[in-house]
Amino acid sequence: MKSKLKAPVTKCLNLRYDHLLSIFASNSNLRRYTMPVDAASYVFNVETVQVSGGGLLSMWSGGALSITGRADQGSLTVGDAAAAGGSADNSLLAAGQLVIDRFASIAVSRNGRASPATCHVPTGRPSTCRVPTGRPCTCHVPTGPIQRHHTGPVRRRRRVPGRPGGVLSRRLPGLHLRIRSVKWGEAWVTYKHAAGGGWVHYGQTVSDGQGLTIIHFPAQPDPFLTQNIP
Amino acid sequence: MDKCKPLAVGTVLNTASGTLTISNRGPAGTTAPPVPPACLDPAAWGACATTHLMGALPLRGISSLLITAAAVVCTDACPTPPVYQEDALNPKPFASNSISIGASAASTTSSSSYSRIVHLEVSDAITLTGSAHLLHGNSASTSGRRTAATAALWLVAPTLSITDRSSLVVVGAMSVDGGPTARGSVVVEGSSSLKIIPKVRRCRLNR
Repeated sequence: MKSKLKAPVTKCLNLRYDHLLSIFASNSNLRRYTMPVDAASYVFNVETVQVSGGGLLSMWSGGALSITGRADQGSLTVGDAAAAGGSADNSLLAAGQLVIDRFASIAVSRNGRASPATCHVPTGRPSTCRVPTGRPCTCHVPTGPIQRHHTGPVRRRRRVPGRPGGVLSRRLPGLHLRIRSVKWGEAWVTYKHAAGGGWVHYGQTVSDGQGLTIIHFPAQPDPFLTQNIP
Repeated sequence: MDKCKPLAVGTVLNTASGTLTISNRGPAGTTAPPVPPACLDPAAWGACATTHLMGALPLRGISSLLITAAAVVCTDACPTPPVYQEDALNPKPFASNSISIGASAASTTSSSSYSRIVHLEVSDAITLTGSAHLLHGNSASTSGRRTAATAALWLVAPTLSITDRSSLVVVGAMSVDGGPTARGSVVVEGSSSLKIIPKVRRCRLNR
């Protein structure tokens, strides 16, 4: 059952898990995963990671922690899906260097926080981001996995000047989204209407476990969205 | 430190089901009070632990490890409990159990800065619930010595669940391995925590 091998330590300083070999018994595939430098602590070979209900998963003192899932179906969730009412306790996933890799979906709700993080995309182009401690991570993720996660109902808020957020509205079934870049719990998107047209607008969204909510619009009002405001 | 005294120590190994349960429930089923926060300070681990897991927990014969009912469990990489004089004025303040499981902790290859690995491996689940605590490592140890205090903790189980005000605290390094099927989960919920406190290690030159 032991399924990890470590490359020899080269010279000095910290332990280096340069690579992680993982053997999947189901199909006898052998995958070679590159492990982040200095991540002496890690979670791997799991499909689901959930930190909720006031849970805390943390690496103290600026240490590195890597969490890897299954790119095809794994999920990482921080916070509670039912946190829209604000009653749930806050949950936290934090490390000096937090590396989250190979999850099909990553969701951080309003009462969850994951920071900071270096994000590696499951497949395709290399994409990393490093942000100062205490700030959320911004990373670029391929549209596929994130879109799969954001297939729930799309709602919108009327933007209240001077106030972030706003009032929840109802679903907008004619709205199609294309995720461009994703923060933890937020995503910048382009969207188009069922009536047609190109991908013309940007909006900021929040995924709170109950779907994707648009909370911000550009200065120029969108006729389609305007007429859907109750 | 008397606040750390547990009601009782209950450890049950059910060989039929392969379940190892460690609880701090009293003889009559009374539930132990939550552990005082002072007991969860790394400096107090060795004294406050009601149960010490001595050696590795192998996969063979053990399907699940359940730590519950305010039990405080230390691996053998925890600080050594203090030795108390047996007299009327200074009774031994803690009833404690030591569970010797299998062989001693496995030694790693020379590729690791950690000389030893405490290996807890089950085929089903490792569960902490009911204000239970699993503690590993020794914050007071010197970083340059290769002792059990610098051992890393490997948890190998398809499911790791920390719920209901429980905690898993590691001084040093820890890995959670879901096993070869990679279909397991790690759940931390119910005001519970999984904390890793990395030790500062010195650079070893001329290796």
